[in-house]
Amino acid sequence: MNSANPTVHIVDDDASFRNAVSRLLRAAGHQVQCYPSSAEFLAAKPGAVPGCVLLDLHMPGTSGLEVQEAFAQTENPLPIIFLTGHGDIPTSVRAMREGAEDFLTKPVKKDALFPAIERALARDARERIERALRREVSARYETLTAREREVMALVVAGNLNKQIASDLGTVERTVKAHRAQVMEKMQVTSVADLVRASDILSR
Amino acid sequence: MMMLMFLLVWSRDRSSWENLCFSITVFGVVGLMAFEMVSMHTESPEVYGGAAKWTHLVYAIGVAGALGFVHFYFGTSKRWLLGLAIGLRFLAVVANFTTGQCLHLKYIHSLQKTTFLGEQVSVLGDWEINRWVLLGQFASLVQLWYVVDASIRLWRTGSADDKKRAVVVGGTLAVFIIAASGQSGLVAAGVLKMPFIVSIPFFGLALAMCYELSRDVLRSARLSRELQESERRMALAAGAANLGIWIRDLVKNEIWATDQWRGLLGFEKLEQINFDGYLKKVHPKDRENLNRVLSKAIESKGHYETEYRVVIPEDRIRWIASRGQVESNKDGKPLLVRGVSMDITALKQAEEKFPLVVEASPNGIVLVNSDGEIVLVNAETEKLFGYGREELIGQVAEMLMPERFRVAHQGHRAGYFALPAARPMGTGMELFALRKNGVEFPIEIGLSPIQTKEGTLVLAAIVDITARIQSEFEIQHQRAELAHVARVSTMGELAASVAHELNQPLGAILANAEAADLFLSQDPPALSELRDILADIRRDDERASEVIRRMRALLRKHEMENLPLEINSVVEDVLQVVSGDIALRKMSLGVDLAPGLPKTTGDRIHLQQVLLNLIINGMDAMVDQPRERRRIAIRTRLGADRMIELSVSDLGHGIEVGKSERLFEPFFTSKPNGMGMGLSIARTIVQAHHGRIWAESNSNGGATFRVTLPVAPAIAKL
Repeated sequence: MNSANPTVHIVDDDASFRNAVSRLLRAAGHQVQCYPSSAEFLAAKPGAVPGCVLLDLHMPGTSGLEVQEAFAQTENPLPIIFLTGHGDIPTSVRAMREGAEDFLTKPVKKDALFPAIERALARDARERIERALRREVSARYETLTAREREVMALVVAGNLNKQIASDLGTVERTVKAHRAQVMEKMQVTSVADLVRASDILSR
Repeated sequence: MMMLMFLLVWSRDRSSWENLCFSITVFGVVGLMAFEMVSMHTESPEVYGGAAKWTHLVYAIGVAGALGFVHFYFGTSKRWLLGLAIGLRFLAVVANFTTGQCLHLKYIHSLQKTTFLGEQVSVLGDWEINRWVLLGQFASLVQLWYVVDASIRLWRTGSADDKKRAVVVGGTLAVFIIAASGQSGLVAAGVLKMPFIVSIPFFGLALAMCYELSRDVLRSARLSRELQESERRMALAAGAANLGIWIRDLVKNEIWATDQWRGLLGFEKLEQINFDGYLKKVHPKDRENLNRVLSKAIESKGHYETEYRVVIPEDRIRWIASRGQVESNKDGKPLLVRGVSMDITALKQAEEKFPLVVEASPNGIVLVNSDGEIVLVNAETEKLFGYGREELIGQVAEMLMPERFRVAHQGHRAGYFALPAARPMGTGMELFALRKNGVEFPIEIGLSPIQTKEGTLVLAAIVDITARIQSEFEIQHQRAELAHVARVSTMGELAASVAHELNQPLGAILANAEAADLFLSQDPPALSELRDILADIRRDDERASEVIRRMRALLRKHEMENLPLEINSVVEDVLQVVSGDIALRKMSLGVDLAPGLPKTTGDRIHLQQVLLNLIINGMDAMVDQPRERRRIAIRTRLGADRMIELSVSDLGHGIEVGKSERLFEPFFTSKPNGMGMGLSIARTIVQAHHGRIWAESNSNGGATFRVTLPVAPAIAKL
């Protein structure tokens, strides 16, 4: 199995349903991994490779919403598509607010399921890139000194060197030196790039 | 002395022949003693011989007396054998007088002296034996036969007292006969050198007979004492029962009567009463009949029973029941009538009221005689059956029932008259009656036997239960309807889990079908996958059908069935329906079903409803509990009282003190949206199963609901 290929994780206590959906997704060319319970799913650390999760809302033991909550704390939470035999509005609202990709009721048609999975996988890919970028930018940011972080914040806020020097109670030449340091450590060449990096950090 | 005494007894009562026989025996003993004494003390052979001759005569008389005693006293001997024994004995006496010196001795040449019992006595010295002695021995043998035969017969047929008699008298007599003939024979043969002492065993015999007769005398004395005592008791009982006892002497035309009788008829205590005086007391209308009954009884020398009225002062009437027995002398001439009379006025008055009570009864009443003929009916019966009473009286009771019951009923009727007792008719059966217009209607009948002059009659009280059955049916129907409504609303509460249960297989089917679509469009199509898919689709389809079938079963309207069922399978059915809801509501479930429980009888759906209701109540009670306390436990077991027990426990808010019974009242609810019907219907259902349902508070919080159901009666295998 090529681990770079996205995997669809199916978590459902009903073996029959699990097998059927797994079969459908395999026929559509997806990598599929099945789990009979949420505990087994969480233990498998599924976030390591790209993918998404099809999660049954009602299961004995830990329920779908709790899995969602626990899974969100992990390093690489995958997008979740909830499946339920009987959906009620409060539950679905809560699930969506917590970041679920979709909320589908069984029986689900492939015309609804497949686009949801595509969206989820695309979102996962996007989020992975963003997460990688954020990790990189934060790593650079970690190298800045406290004074450099102050300078960077004021630059991003659109202040001129003179204003910054006055705010920090120093001279313009010193600010210039800090500013060059920041640009170098953050590996940006323009103020616009620095603003974007700051934006990534703030997410 | 003894002889005279018993001779006296016989002379007073000529029928006591055994006393005469005893006297004769004693006479024989005395004679025997006398002649033996003479022969013992004589010196001359002539005198010895003469005494011996006479000895044989008195011996024969004594033996005849003893054998006669056996005959009269035992009453079991053979008459011809008695004749033969006595005849032979007297034949021997004839030989005794006609041959030789005596039966034993032909000639006595000399005597000699010897010491016997410390006394000098004469015994035979030189003699010749008489051959006729053999006749005497033969006669003894026949006597012995007679006695033993009579004794054995008495022993076999008689009472314990008779057995004793057979041993004492028969045994002694047998011993005497053997001893007497043996001793005399041996002396005559010269084997024994001693005098003839036949009188000694003979004396013993007389003592045994005397002993028996004396016991009889004592016994009769005791009997007469007891008779007096029982007469006294009888008089006491008659007095207590207010029975008048009387004896009418037909010869002297006198009536002797007790004070009670005089009181009943209105005679003074010491007044002389004759038959005419008696008849005057009788109501003029009854005189003729009474006279006829009495004359007929006297003519036939029989027994009679009658009832008549007497007129007592102030023109009041007293009813008397009288029964009597005519006694006549040996020639068949009626001598007297003996009888008792009693006051039956109260009884008669009750009898007169009887038809009024019957007529006024709100039930149909039919009085039937032992031939099954209707004797009496009341107004209600006419109304019930549509016949006039003139159409019913004298007809067979079976005309009031549908054709199909008639033959069997004739048998039942005969059985009832054989063993009459008050009871409901046809217990456990549905009874129907037939109206004149041919319409059948359901009834209940109570039967009571009534003793009357015409024999036993049966009073049948008939109630038309059409209306009752109708209302029972309606109640039953309403109960089923209500139970159905409750089930529907319960199922509504389960909608979420039902949807879940259905959507699971439906979702799988859809996914499989769409997967198959994709596999088919592949090149080459993945046929093995397709086969697996089809198998899975079929299985999921069955699963979905099963869910629907269970739901429909629960939602179906239906009347109660009564079939054997296993409570554990009821629990399993319900758990299948409710397990989704249990998971959905984050409850945990503990199930502890006792294996091998006996079956109960009842309606599966209704019992499922009860259990479903208890489980849902339990879950509702735990909604506000933290998750670890949301636990519901279902248990079955066989109780000590042979009742099957089903319990549902929760850890919820429990039952308020004093409310555990109110829970089962209609419209009592602790839920914000509850209808308050669930437990009320559950109780109705359980009670219809002859079971019990109640609630208890748990020591660890929460409540336990228990249902007990009776074990199904064992059904014989066919």
